[in-house]
Amino acid sequence: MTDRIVPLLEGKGAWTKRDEIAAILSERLRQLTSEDALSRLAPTGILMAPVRTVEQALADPDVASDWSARLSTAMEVAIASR
Amino acid sequence: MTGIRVLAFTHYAAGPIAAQYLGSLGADVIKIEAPAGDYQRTGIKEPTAAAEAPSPYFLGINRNQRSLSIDLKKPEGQAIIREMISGADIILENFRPGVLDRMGLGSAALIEEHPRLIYCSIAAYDPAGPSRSKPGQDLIIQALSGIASLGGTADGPPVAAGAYIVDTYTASQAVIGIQAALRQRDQTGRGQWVRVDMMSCALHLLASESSYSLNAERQASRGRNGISHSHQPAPYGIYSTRDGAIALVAHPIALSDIAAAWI
Repeated sequence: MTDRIVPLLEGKGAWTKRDEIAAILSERLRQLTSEDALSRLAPTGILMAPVRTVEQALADPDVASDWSARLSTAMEVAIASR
Repeated sequence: MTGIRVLAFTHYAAGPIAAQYLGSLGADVIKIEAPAGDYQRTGIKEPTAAAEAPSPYFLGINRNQRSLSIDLKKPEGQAIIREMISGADIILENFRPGVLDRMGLGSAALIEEHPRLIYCSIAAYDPAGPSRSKPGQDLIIQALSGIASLGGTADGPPVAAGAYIVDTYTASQAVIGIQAALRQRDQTGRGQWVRVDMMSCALHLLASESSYSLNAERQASRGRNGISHSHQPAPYGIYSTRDGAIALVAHPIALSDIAAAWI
């Protein structure tokens, strides 16, 4: 993959050839699970995140501890109405 | 905002969200509803829900406020609301321009009668502009403002944000305006009319993209991986994986490291 991407980075390639670079990355990423991709990329130090559903985000302990206090009434009534 | 009383003539989203923020900040917010109640209490929900079941949509954006049903078309209702207004600090409303004026509750009349009153109107479009009387809604404004044109992929249709971003941002701007008006009232003893509109707020959300549109040769456009920020270098974007998707943000220098991670 390096030999395909590095030439595209010459000059302002990261901006002007963004779609080509994305296409190469997409090819490989489609073969990996999100967890596998994130763990392989972790050593590079780039910013990255899984695309979560709202339900997954609300279940995150960091989020739930805060949101549950503020939304409890509305959320409980909303869930009860399903 | 403890000790500040708000009368909220609000419905749909931007108005209730602004009222909710004011309540979160400690204001005493009273939502004024029609005799049958805000239709969204049970009106916006999935079709399989029971008819009488409360709407999760309504519950999510109408917290932190009390409510009162009043028939404003009857003299008794008018008498009640006028007494309440005399004790209010803020009127918050998001009806189409002119609706509350026809009930004698317009900004000019009430501010003249109550000089300390802060009257905040949230509209879809500039109240002084040619579209002022047209109805608006979050998705419509996302379409008209250009926000939707920046979402989705280059080879697909435009895609709006998956949240009511214009409504929510407009509500935030309304609260900022109200806070500034309160500060000025503290200094001058006088209230004022605070006007906020969704279209202006949507364009404000596009501050970066608008600046590129006006100043740079390269225009914002959707990329193959759904990213419109033309100033962001690869691999900035959302990428599908075998079981979902991931978001990547990196300096171009890191691209070779990314590639190497798979060797």
